[in-house]
Amino acid sequence: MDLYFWVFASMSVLAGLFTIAARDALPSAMGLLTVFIALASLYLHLHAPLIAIFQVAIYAGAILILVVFVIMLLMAPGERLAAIQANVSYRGAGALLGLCLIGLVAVGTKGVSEIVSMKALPEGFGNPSMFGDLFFRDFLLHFEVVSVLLLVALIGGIYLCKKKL
Amino acid sequence: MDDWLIAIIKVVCIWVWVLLIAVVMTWVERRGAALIQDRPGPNRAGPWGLFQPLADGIKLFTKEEIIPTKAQKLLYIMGPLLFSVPAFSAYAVVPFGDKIILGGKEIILQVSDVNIGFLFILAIGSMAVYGVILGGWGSNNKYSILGGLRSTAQMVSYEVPLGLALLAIVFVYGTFSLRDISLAQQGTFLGFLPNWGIFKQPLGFILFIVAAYAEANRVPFDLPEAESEIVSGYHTEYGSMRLGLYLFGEYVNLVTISGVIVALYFGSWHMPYIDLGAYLGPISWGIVSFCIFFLKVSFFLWMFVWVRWTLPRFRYDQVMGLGWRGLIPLGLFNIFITALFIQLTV
Amino acid sequence: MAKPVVKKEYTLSERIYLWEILKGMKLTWGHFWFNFKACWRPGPHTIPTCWQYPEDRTREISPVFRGEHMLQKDDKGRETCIACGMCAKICPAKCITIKKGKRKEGEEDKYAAKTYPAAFEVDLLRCIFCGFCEDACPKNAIVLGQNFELARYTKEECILDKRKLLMNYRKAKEEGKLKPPRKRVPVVPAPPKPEKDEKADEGAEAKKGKPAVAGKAKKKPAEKAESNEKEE
Repeated sequence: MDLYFWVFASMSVLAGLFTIAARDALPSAMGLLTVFIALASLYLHLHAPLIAIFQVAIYAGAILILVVFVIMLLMAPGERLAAIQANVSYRGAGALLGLCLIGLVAVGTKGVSEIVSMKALPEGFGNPSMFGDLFFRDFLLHFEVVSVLLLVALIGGIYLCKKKL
Repeated sequence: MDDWLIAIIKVVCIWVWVLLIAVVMTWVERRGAALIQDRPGPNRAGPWGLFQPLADGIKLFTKEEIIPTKAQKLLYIMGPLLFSVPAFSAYAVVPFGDKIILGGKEIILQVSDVNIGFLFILAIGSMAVYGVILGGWGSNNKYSILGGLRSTAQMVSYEVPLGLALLAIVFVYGTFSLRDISLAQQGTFLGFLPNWGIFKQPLGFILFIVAAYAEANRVPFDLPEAESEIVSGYHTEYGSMRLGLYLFGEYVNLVTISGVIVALYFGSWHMPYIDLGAYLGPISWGIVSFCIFFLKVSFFLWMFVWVRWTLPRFRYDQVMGLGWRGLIPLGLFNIFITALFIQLTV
Repeated sequence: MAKPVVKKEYTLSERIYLWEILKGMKLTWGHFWFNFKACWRPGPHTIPTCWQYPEDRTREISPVFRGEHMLQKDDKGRETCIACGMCAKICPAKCITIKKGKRKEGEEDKYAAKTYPAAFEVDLLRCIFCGFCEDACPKNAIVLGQNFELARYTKEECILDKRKLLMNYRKAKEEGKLKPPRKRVPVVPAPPKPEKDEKADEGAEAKKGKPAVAGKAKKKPAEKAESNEKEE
């Protein structure tokens, strides 16, 4: 009975439910923040502190802040997007996508019972230097492609925001 | 079980110590500011005004807790919590001394020596931004929202030069862990300089300290809470203990940042040329190393106060310009130079 | 000639700003160190620009400061106020109340003139400390002194009666804080108007009556001043 896991897993599920059920935009974003923090704690529990830090620093610390910025710049504090929420076609599309997601999750959990509960970890698992080895030896091409992707995104951002070229 | 107990004791000690420093910092700030401004500062509450923080604390505790009617309640309440709790938590990876041997056990004076060291501090620093956002948004007040937006943009922008300066540190020392970096700062460098990080990374130090001032929302970057311009920005609508949490959270942030600066750049607990660890016994070395660390941290805390009353406030576009167009190219240049040095000498 | 604006570009060290920060920090450190040492020195007023008020009341107050009122006596110890009511009339806040009394036979050395104020009340809570009463007084009797610590616990204590006003004068005289006697503004009659159209001239003169006296806005105090001048 892994108490740590159950606490943070239930925290993430409940926060996820709060995210989709909240009526105001910013509390919904805060629910998402809680999901990220719970996931980071679960990564910690899996002996992967670096992934946990990436989750908090990148996801919660940068991406979610951008989302919150968009919310703050486009909405007023008490505003609820009632017109958009009442739209039937949006709701229908949401329901369809939700069903697809449930199907995906069902397909994905097929092999859960075959997961071995305890496994001996290699020495230095989760160490940042191991990450460095992986990135620059085994997955170098992936790393470079991601950096090119970032460069493209940067150029796109500059192009969109420049006043005149 | 023993390890848990020791860890809990360390955590409690850290909390109490950091809170005490934050309280004393309010007094230091007010007296220091006053003496710089040719006036004595609070001198009525006790000898040299030493009971003034006590009076302030009592005032903040006993004031009525008011939540504005139109404020978003959940966000309004969560704001101060999200701001101050990460500030305390970030101190978990800062070493505040070398080991001490108590009851046959060797205890390192750091709450947890994870191998991800200061990345934890960066991540927790990003969490503090949420406290500001929620405080500003939840107050439902134009000035607060403005202050919150500005502060968020500023803190997020200055995380990049912070990270770049830290990246250069990783090049030099090869590890994220603050304890290993502190241990590596022993001895001398080039024969006559103490082996401190500032001599190996002068440009990185300047970058880090400027970015740290911006992260802590301190002058010259304190436009988000500028008292004369936007009426206290994101903590306009806060009173009583919630404001107390914001203000203390700010001071605790300062203590953490000073701790990190000392650990990375100023040879955390090492005396410049003398290696005291060889002379003193284990318990006294633990205490002495803590005192040396604390002296250095208090110097940096004094620097925060000193610079606050020396410099005028930057305008917001100047802040953003400095962050993106000044510090980030400098940070990249610093990484380049450091990598070149490491490649050519190792 | 206005001072020409010289536009200087920033030098490189000024643009980098770090050196300027260090120079500024040296300046503030100098201030801090001076005041820090001053705090440790014994004595009341060590930090030069800061008076610690209740303990240290040595700050100089200007001689024309408008503080608490007092009724002056002349060199022979006689009350100078003649209860003319000018101060009461001119007071914008209407805080002065005067009741006239006539001098009797045996009171020659108590009151200087034939009339004296039987009751003279200044309501400090209404007073705006403008000093008009002092300017209007023909005998320089009511004068605004240098006391500014006027907080009291009840409203009744804030109404100064004649006894308190005279006591203020006695206290000020003992402490040597009396105001020097006011210099009188010389009253100069207006120059005669130049000869223009006769009809326009007559009409204008008939409307105005007496020509206005230079330097005084109100007529009655002017008349009184002139009569006083003639008396003196």
